[in-house]
Amino acid sequence: MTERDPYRYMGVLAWSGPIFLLGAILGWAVLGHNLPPYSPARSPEEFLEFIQTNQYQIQLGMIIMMTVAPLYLMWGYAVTRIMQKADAYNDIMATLQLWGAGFTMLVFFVPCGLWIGVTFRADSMDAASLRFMFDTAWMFFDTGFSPVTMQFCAFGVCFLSDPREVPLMPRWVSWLGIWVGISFFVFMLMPFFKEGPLARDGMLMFWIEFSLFFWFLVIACVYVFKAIGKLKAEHAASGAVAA
Amino acid sequence: MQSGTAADRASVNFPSIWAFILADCFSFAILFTIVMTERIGQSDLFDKAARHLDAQLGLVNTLILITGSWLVALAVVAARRGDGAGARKWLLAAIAVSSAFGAIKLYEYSAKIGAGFTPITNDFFTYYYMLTGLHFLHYIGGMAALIALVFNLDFSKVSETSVLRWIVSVGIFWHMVDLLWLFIYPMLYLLPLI
Repeated sequence: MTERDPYRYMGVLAWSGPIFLLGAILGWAVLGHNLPPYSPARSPEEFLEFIQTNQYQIQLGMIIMMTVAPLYLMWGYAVTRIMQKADAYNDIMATLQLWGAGFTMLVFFVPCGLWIGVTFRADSMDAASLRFMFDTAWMFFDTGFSPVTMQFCAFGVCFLSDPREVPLMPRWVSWLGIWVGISFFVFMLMPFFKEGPLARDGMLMFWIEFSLFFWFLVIACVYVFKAIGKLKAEHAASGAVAA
Repeated sequence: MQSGTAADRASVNFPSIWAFILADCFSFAILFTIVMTERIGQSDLFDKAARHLDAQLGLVNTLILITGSWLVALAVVAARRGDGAGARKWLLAAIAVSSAFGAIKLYEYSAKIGAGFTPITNDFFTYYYMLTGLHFLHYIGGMAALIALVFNLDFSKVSETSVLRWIVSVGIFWHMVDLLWLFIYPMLYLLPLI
Protein backbone atom coordinates (compact mmCIF):
# COMPACT_ATOMS: atom_id res chain seq x y z
CA MET A 1 0.00 0.00 0.00
CA THR A 2 2.74 2.45 -0.98
CA GLU A 3 0.17 5.12 -1.93
CA ARG A 4 -0.71 5.41 1.77
CA ASP A 5 2.86 5.28 3.03
CA PRO A 6 3.44 8.43 5.17
CA TYR A 7 7.21 7.87 4.98
CA ARG A 8 7.46 7.58 1.20
CA TYR A 9 9.82 10.56 0.68
CA MET A 10 11.53 10.43 4.05
CA GLY A 11 14.50 8.47 2.72
CA VAL A 12 15.22 11.18 0.15
CA LEU A 13 14.95 13.89 2.80
CA ALA A 14 17.18 11.97 5.22
CA TRP A 15 19.88 11.41 2.56
CA SER A 16 19.88 15.17 1.89
CA GLY A 17 21.85 15.62 5.15
CA PRO A 18 24.87 13.44 4.27
CA ILE A 19 24.90 14.74 0.67
CA PHE A 20 24.86 18.33 1.98
CA LEU A 21 27.76 17.48 4.29
CA LEU A 22 29.82 16.00 1.46
CA GLY A 23 29.08 19.01 -0.76
CA ALA A 24 29.99 21.45 2.01
CA ILE A 25 33.25 19.67 2.80
CA LEU A 26 34.27 19.43 -0.86
CA GLY A 27 32.99 22.83 -1.99
CA TRP A 28 33.23 25.17 0.96
CA ALA A 29 36.09 23.58 2.92
CA VAL A 30 38.47 21.98 0.38
CA LEU A 31 37.96 23.93 -2.88
CA GLY A 32 37.09 27.10 -0.95
CA HIS A 33 40.42 26.94 0.91
CA ASN A 34 38.71 27.10 4.28
CA LEU A 35 40.70 24.41 6.11
CA PRO A 36 41.45 26.66 8.00
CA PRO A 37 40.01 29.94 6.66
CA TYR A 38 42.29 32.70 5.42
CA SER A 39 43.72 34.63 8.36
CA PRO A 40 42.18 38.08 8.99
CA ALA A 41 45.55 39.25 10.33
CA ARG A 42 47.34 39.21 6.96
CA SER A 43 47.81 42.29 4.76
CA PRO A 44 45.47 43.27 1.89
CA GLU A 45 48.28 42.61 -0.59
CA GLU A 46 48.82 39.07 0.70
CA PHE A 47 45.07 38.56 0.59
CA LEU A 48 44.88 39.71 -3.05
CA GLU A 49 47.62 37.30 -4.03
CA PHE A 50 45.80 34.47 -2.24
CA ILE A 51 42.53 35.24 -4.06
CA GLN A 52 44.14 35.62 -7.49
CA THR A 53 46.09 32.37 -7.07
CA ASN A 54 43.04 30.35 -6.03
CA GLN A 55 40.31 32.29 -7.87
CA TYR A 56 38.73 29.47 -9.88
CA GLN A 57 38.89 26.86 -7.13
CA ILE A 58 37.16 29.20 -4.68
CA GLN A 59 34.51 30.12 -7.26
CA LEU A 60 33.78 26.47 -8.00
CA GLY A 61 33.73 25.59 -4.30
CA MET A 62 31.26 28.33 -3.41
CA ILE A 63 29.03 27.45 -6.37
CA ILE A 64 28.93 23.85 -5.09
CA MET A 65 28.12 25.08 -1.57
CA MET A 66 25.26 27.28 -2.81
CA THR A 67 23.93 24.42 -4.91
CA VAL A 68 23.80 21.95 -2.03
CA ALA A 69 22.51 24.51 0.52
CA PRO A 70 18.79 23.66 -0.03
CA LEU A 71 19.58 20.06 0.93
CA TYR A 72 20.08 21.33 4.47
CA LEU A 73 16.50 22.59 4.53
CA MET A 74 15.28 19.26 3.12
CA TRP A 75 17.12 17.39 5.85
CA GLY A 76 15.66 19.82 8.39
CA TYR A 77 12.20 18.93 7.12
CA ALA A 78 12.93 15.22 7.69
CA VAL A 79 13.89 16.09 11.27
CA THR A 80 10.70 18.10 11.70
CA ARG A 81 8.56 15.17 10.54
CA ILE A 82 10.27 12.92 13.10
CA MET A 83 9.83 15.58 15.81
CA GLN A 84 6.11 15.72 15.03
CA LYS A 85 5.98 12.01 15.84
CA ALA A 86 8.11 12.40 18.98
CA ASP A 87 5.70 14.99 20.41
CA ALA A 88 2.44 14.27 18.64
CA TYR A 89 0.41 16.86 20.56
CA ASN A 90 2.59 19.93 20.16
CA ASP A 91 4.54 20.81 17.02
CA ILE A 92 5.92 24.19 18.16
CA MET A 93 9.48 22.91 18.53
CA ALA A 94 9.20 20.98 15.26
CA THR A 95 8.14 24.17 13.46
CA LEU A 96 10.90 26.24 15.09
CA GLN A 97 13.44 23.62 14.06
CA LEU A 98 12.30 23.87 10.44
CA TRP A 99 12.45 27.68 10.42
CA GLY A 100 15.91 27.44 11.99
CA ALA A 101 17.04 25.10 9.21
CA GLY A 102 15.58 27.48 6.60
CA PHE A 103 17.36 30.54 7.93
CA THR A 104 20.59 28.57 8.40
CA MET A 105 20.36 27.75 4.71
CA LEU A 106 20.43 31.50 4.02
CA VAL A 107 23.63 31.74 6.04
CA PHE A 108 25.15 29.32 3.52
CA PHE A 109 23.83 31.30 0.54
CA VAL A 110 24.67 34.94 1.25
CA PRO A 111 28.34 34.71 2.35
CA CYS A 112 29.13 32.25 -0.44
CA GLY A 113 27.62 34.70 -2.94
CA LEU A 114 29.85 37.44 -1.54
CA TRP A 115 32.93 35.20 -1.76
CA ILE A 116 32.13 34.48 -5.41
CA GLY A 117 31.85 38.26 -5.91
CA VAL A 118 35.31 38.74 -4.36
CA THR A 119 36.88 36.25 -6.78
CA PHE A 120 34.89 37.66 -9.73
CA ARG A 121 36.42 41.14 -9.34
CA ALA A 122 39.86 40.05 -8.10
CA ASP A 123 41.52 41.43 -11.24
CA SER A 124 40.06 44.95 -11.08
CA MET A 125 39.25 45.96 -7.47
CA ASP A 126 41.74 47.19 -4.90
CA ALA A 127 43.00 44.73 -2.30
CA ALA A 128 41.57 46.52 0.76
CA SER A 129 38.03 46.64 -0.69
CA LEU A 130 38.19 42.97 -1.66
CA ARG A 131 39.38 42.01 1.80
CA PHE A 132 36.56 44.07 3.33
CA MET A 133 34.00 42.12 1.27
CA PHE A 134 35.64 38.84 2.21
CA ASP A 135 35.60 39.78 5.93
CA THR A 136 31.97 40.93 5.72
CA ALA A 137 30.98 37.51 4.40
CA TRP A 138 32.76 35.90 7.33
CA MET A 139 30.93 38.14 9.81
CA PHE A 140 27.65 36.96 8.32
CA PHE A 141 28.80 33.34 8.28
CA ASP A 142 30.03 33.08 11.89
CA THR A 143 28.19 35.83 13.74
CA GLY A 144 24.90 34.73 12.14
CA PHE A 145 24.86 31.67 14.40
CA SER A 146 21.50 32.33 16.07
CA PRO A 147 19.22 30.50 13.56
CA VAL A 148 21.20 27.29 13.97
CA THR A 149 21.21 27.75 17.75
CA MET A 150 17.42 28.00 17.64
CA GLN A 151 17.26 24.95 15.37
CA PHE A 152 19.48 22.70 17.51
CA CYS A 153 17.87 23.78 20.80
CA ALA A 154 14.37 23.10 19.42
CA PHE A 155 15.66 19.72 18.21
CA GLY A 156 16.94 18.80 21.67
CA VAL A 157 14.00 20.12 23.70
CA CYS A 158 11.45 18.31 21.52
CA PHE A 159 13.20 14.93 21.52
CA LEU A 160 13.76 15.12 25.29
CA SER A 161 9.97 15.25 25.70
CA ASP A 162 9.46 12.05 23.66
CA PRO A 163 7.38 9.84 25.99
CA ARG A 164 8.52 6.55 24.40
CA GLU A 165 10.40 4.15 26.66
CA VAL A 166 13.07 4.06 23.95
CA PRO A 167 12.92 7.58 22.47
CA LEU A 168 13.18 8.18 18.73
CA MET A 169 16.35 10.18 19.35
CA PRO A 170 18.70 9.08 22.16
CA ARG A 171 18.60 11.54 25.03
CA TRP A 172 22.37 12.13 24.86
CA VAL A 173 22.00 13.24 21.23
CA SER A 174 19.22 15.64 22.28
CA TRP A 175 21.41 17.15 25.01
CA LEU A 176 24.35 17.30 22.64
CA GLY A 177 22.19 19.27 20.19
CA ILE A 178 21.26 21.77 22.89
CA TRP A 179 24.88 22.10 23.97
CA VAL A 180 26.20 22.56 20.43
CA GLY A 181 23.50 25.18 19.76
CA ILE A 182 24.31 27.10 22.93
CA SER A 183 28.08 26.76 22.47
CA PHE A 184 27.75 28.75 19.23
CA PHE A 185 27.39 31.85 21.41
CA VAL A 186 31.22 31.84 21.34
CA PHE A 187 30.89 33.15 17.76
CA MET A 188 29.84 36.47 19.31
CA LEU A 189 33.53 36.95 20.14
CA MET A 190 34.81 36.44 16.60
CA PRO A 191 34.58 40.08 15.43
CA PHE A 192 36.86 41.17 18.29
CA PHE A 193 39.88 39.08 17.27
CA LYS A 194 42.12 39.15 14.20
CA GLU A 195 44.59 36.57 15.51
CA GLY A 196 44.88 33.94 18.20
CA PRO A 197 42.52 31.13 19.22
CA LEU A 198 39.41 33.31 18.99
CA ALA A 199 40.05 34.67 15.48
CA ARG A 200 37.96 33.07 12.73
CA ASP A 201 40.86 30.77 11.79
CA GLY A 202 41.89 30.16 15.41
CA MET A 203 42.08 26.87 17.26
CA LEU A 204 38.99 27.45 19.38
CA MET A 205 36.86 29.40 16.91
CA PHE A 206 37.41 27.20 13.85
CA TRP A 207 38.85 23.80 14.75
CA ILE A 208 36.62 23.30 17.79
CA GLU A 209 33.61 25.61 17.69
CA PHE A 210 32.97 25.73 13.96
CA SER A 211 33.68 22.04 13.44
CA LEU A 212 31.07 21.18 16.08
CA PHE A 213 28.37 22.00 13.52
CA PHE A 214 29.70 19.33 11.18
CA TRP A 215 30.34 16.72 13.89
CA PHE A 216 26.86 17.15 15.32
CA LEU A 217 25.35 16.95 11.85
CA VAL A 218 27.14 13.63 11.25
CA ILE A 219 25.75 12.22 14.52
CA ALA A 220 22.26 13.62 13.89
CA CYS A 221 22.22 12.23 10.32
CA VAL A 222 22.93 8.72 11.62
CA TYR A 223 20.19 8.92 14.24
CA VAL A 224 17.70 10.45 11.78
CA PHE A 225 18.04 7.29 9.68
CA LYS A 226 17.56 5.15 12.80
CA ALA A 227 14.51 7.18 13.89
CA ILE A 228 12.89 6.77 10.47
CA GLY A 229 13.46 3.01 10.77
CA LYS A 230 11.75 3.00 14.18
CA LEU A 231 8.81 5.05 12.88
CA LYS A 232 8.37 2.71 9.91
CA ALA A 233 8.39 -0.26 12.29
CA GLU A 234 5.79 1.48 14.52
CA HIS A 235 3.66 2.21 11.45
CA ALA A 236 3.90 -1.38 10.23
CA ALA A 237 3.00 -2.70 13.71
CA SER A 238 -0.01 -0.37 14.00
CA GLY A 239 -1.14 -1.54 10.54
CA ALA A 240 -0.81 -5.16 11.61
CA VAL A 241 -2.88 -4.47 14.75
CA ALA A 242 -5.54 -2.63 12.70
CA ALA A 243 -5.69 -5.52 10.25
CA MET B 1 10.88 7.31 47.41
CA GLN B 2 12.44 6.41 44.10
CA SER B 3 10.52 3.68 42.33
CA GLY B 4 10.12 2.16 38.87
CA THR B 5 12.21 -0.14 36.72
CA ALA B 6 15.98 -0.44 36.77
CA ALA B 7 16.07 1.73 33.62
CA ASP B 8 13.99 4.39 35.40
CA ARG B 9 16.35 4.39 38.37
CA ALA B 10 19.37 4.61 36.07
CA SER B 11 17.83 7.58 34.25
CA VAL B 12 17.50 9.40 37.60
CA ASN B 13 20.87 8.39 39.05
CA PHE B 14 22.74 9.08 35.81
CA PRO B 15 20.49 11.39 33.77
CA SER B 16 21.27 12.11 30.12
CA ILE B 17 22.11 15.73 30.92
CA TRP B 18 25.60 14.42 31.67
CA ALA B 19 26.21 14.46 27.91
CA PHE B 20 25.64 18.23 28.01
CA ILE B 21 27.68 18.68 31.21
CA LEU B 22 30.71 16.75 29.93
CA ALA B 23 30.69 18.59 26.60
CA ASP B 24 30.35 21.96 28.33
CA CYS B 25 33.11 21.25 30.85
CA PHE B 26 35.33 20.17 27.96
CA SER B 27 34.79 23.48 26.15
CA PHE B 28 35.41 25.50 29.32
CA ALA B 29 38.59 23.48 29.96
CA ILE B 30 39.81 24.61 26.53
CA LEU B 31 38.89 28.22 27.30
CA PHE B 32 40.71 28.04 30.64
CA THR B 33 43.79 26.62 28.89
CA ILE B 34 43.71 29.45 26.35
CA VAL B 35 43.41 32.11 29.06
CA MET B 36 46.22 30.61 31.16
CA THR B 37 48.46 30.28 28.10
CA GLU B 38 47.84 33.95 27.23
CA ARG B 39 48.53 34.82 30.86
CA ILE B 40 51.97 33.18 30.73
CA GLY B 41 52.82 35.29 27.68
CA GLN B 42 51.58 38.56 29.20
CA SER B 43 51.84 38.01 32.94
CA ASP B 44 52.69 41.66 33.78
CA LEU B 45 49.70 43.01 31.85
CA PHE B 46 47.36 40.39 33.32
CA ASP B 47 48.56 41.02 36.90
CA LYS B 48 48.28 44.79 36.55
CA ALA B 49 44.85 44.69 34.90
CA ALA B 50 43.45 42.11 37.34
CA ARG B 51 44.12 44.46 40.25
CA HIS B 52 41.25 46.59 38.92
CA LEU B 53 38.84 43.73 39.76
CA ASP B 54 37.15 43.61 43.14
CA ALA B 55 38.28 40.31 44.71
CA GLN B 56 35.98 40.84 47.72
CA LEU B 57 32.91 41.11 45.51
CA GLY B 58 34.12 38.00 43.74
CA LEU B 59 34.39 36.22 47.09
CA VAL B 60 30.84 37.25 48.01
CA ASN B 61 29.63 35.86 44.68
CA THR B 62 31.53 32.63 45.32
CA LEU B 63 29.81 32.22 48.70
CA ILE B 64 26.42 32.99 47.12
CA LEU B 65 26.87 30.32 44.45
CA ILE B 66 28.08 27.72 46.97
CA THR B 67 25.09 28.46 49.21
CA GLY B 68 22.77 28.23 46.20
CA SER B 69 24.25 24.86 45.27
CA TRP B 70 23.80 23.62 48.83
CA LEU B 71 20.12 24.65 48.75
CA VAL B 72 19.62 22.89 45.40
CA ALA B 73 21.26 19.77 46.85
CA LEU B 74 18.79 19.91 49.76
CA ALA B 75 15.95 20.13 47.20
CA VAL B 76 17.23 17.01 45.44
CA VAL B 77 17.50 15.16 48.75
CA ALA B 78 13.92 16.16 49.63
CA ALA B 79 12.70 15.09 46.18
CA ARG B 80 14.39 11.70 46.48
CA ARG B 81 12.61 11.31 49.86
CA GLY B 82 9.30 11.97 48.08
CA ASP B 83 8.87 15.32 49.87
CA GLY B 84 7.61 17.48 46.98
CA ALA B 85 6.67 20.50 49.13
CA GLY B 86 10.11 20.45 50.76
CA ALA B 87 11.86 20.21 47.39
CA ARG B 88 9.90 23.20 46.07
CA LYS B 89 10.71 25.21 49.21
CA TRP B 90 14.47 24.56 48.89
CA LEU B 91 14.39 25.44 45.20
CA LEU B 92 12.66 28.75 45.97
CA ALA B 93 15.33 29.46 48.59
CA ALA B 94 18.05 28.65 46.04
CA ILE B 95 16.51 31.07 43.53
CA ALA B 96 16.26 33.83 46.14
CA VAL B 97 19.88 33.44 47.29
CA SER B 98 21.35 32.93 43.82
CA SER B 99 19.62 35.97 42.35
CA ALA B 100 22.09 38.07 44.36
CA PHE B 101 24.90 36.70 42.17
CA GLY B 102 23.27 38.23 39.07
CA ALA B 103 22.70 41.58 40.77
CA ILE B 104 26.33 41.77 41.96
CA LYS B 105 27.69 40.69 38.59
CA LEU B 106 25.64 43.34 36.77
CA TYR B 107 26.84 45.96 39.26
CA GLU B 108 30.42 44.80 38.68
CA TYR B 109 30.05 45.00 34.89
CA SER B 110 28.54 48.50 35.04
CA ALA B 111 31.27 49.68 37.46
CA LYS B 112 34.02 48.33 35.20
CA ILE B 113 32.50 49.79 32.03
CA GLY B 114 31.92 53.08 33.86
CA ALA B 115 35.63 53.14 34.81
CA GLY B 116 36.58 52.59 31.18
CA PHE B 117 37.42 48.88 31.30
CA THR B 118 35.69 47.31 28.30
CA PRO B 119 36.35 44.11 26.30
CA ILE B 120 38.70 46.06 24.00
CA THR B 121 40.74 47.73 26.77
CA ASN B 122 43.39 44.99 26.71
CA ASP B 123 43.70 41.20 26.40
CA PHE B 124 43.01 40.64 30.10
CA PHE B 125 39.66 42.41 29.96
CA THR B 126 38.79 40.69 26.68
CA TYR B 127 39.21 37.34 28.42
CA TYR B 128 37.57 38.63 31.62
CA TYR B 129 34.39 39.59 29.78
CA MET B 130 34.55 36.43 27.66
CA LEU B 131 34.87 33.98 30.58
CA THR B 132 32.54 35.75 33.00
CA GLY B 133 30.08 36.51 30.17
CA LEU B 134 29.85 32.88 29.08
CA HIS B 135 29.54 31.87 32.72
CA PHE B 136 26.81 34.49 33.19
CA LEU B 137 24.89 33.00 30.24
CA HIS B 138 25.05 29.64 32.02
CA TYR B 139 23.90 31.30 35.24
CA ILE B 140 20.89 32.83 33.44
CA GLY B 141 20.08 29.44 31.89
CA GLY B 142 20.34 27.78 35.31
CA MET B 143 18.15 30.39 36.99
CA ALA B 144 15.57 30.05 34.20
CA ALA B 145 15.60 26.27 34.69
CA LEU B 146 15.17 26.61 38.47
CA ILE B 147 12.28 29.06 38.02
CA ALA B 148 10.69 26.79 35.39
CA LEU B 149 10.91 23.86 37.80
CA VAL B 150 9.29 25.77 40.66
CA PHE B 151 6.39 27.09 38.60
CA ASN B 152 5.81 24.31 36.05
CA LEU B 153 6.64 21.04 37.78
CA ASP B 154 3.93 19.07 39.56
CA PHE B 155 5.66 18.53 42.92
CA SER B 156 2.85 16.26 44.12
CA LYS B 157 4.22 13.70 41.65
CA VAL B 158 7.82 14.01 42.79
CA SER B 159 8.12 10.22 43.19
CA GLU B 160 7.56 9.75 39.48
CA THR B 161 10.74 9.16 37.51
CA SER B 162 10.14 11.94 34.96
CA VAL B 163 9.58 14.58 37.67
CA LEU B 164 12.51 13.45 39.81
CA ARG B 165 14.76 13.29 36.74
CA TRP B 166 14.07 16.97 35.96
CA ILE B 167 14.96 18.04 39.50
CA VAL B 168 18.17 15.97 39.52
CA SER B 169 19.14 17.19 36.02
CA VAL B 170 18.67 20.88 36.85
CA GLY B 171 20.52 20.27 40.12
CA ILE B 172 23.50 18.82 38.23
CA PHE B 173 23.48 21.78 35.84
CA TRP B 174 23.40 24.24 38.73
CA HIS B 175 26.38 22.53 40.37
CA MET B 176 28.27 22.91 37.09
CA VAL B 177 27.55 26.68 37.10
CA ASP B 178 29.00 26.74 40.62
CA LEU B 179 32.01 24.59 39.68
CA LEU B 180 32.91 26.75 36.67
CA TRP B 181 32.91 29.85 38.87
CA LEU B 182 35.25 28.09 41.31
CA PHE B 183 37.79 27.96 38.46
CA ILE B 184 37.06 31.44 37.06
CA TYR B 185 37.31 33.30 40.38
CA PRO B 186 40.89 32.34 41.30
CA MET B 187 42.03 32.49 37.67
CA LEU B 188 40.89 36.09 37.13
CA TYR B 189 40.62 37.64 40.59
CA LEU B 190 43.11 35.89 42.88
CA LEU B 191 46.20 34.98 40.83
CA PRO B 192 47.60 38.56 40.77
CA LEU B 193 47.25 38.77 44.57
CA ILE B 194 49.54 35.78 45.16
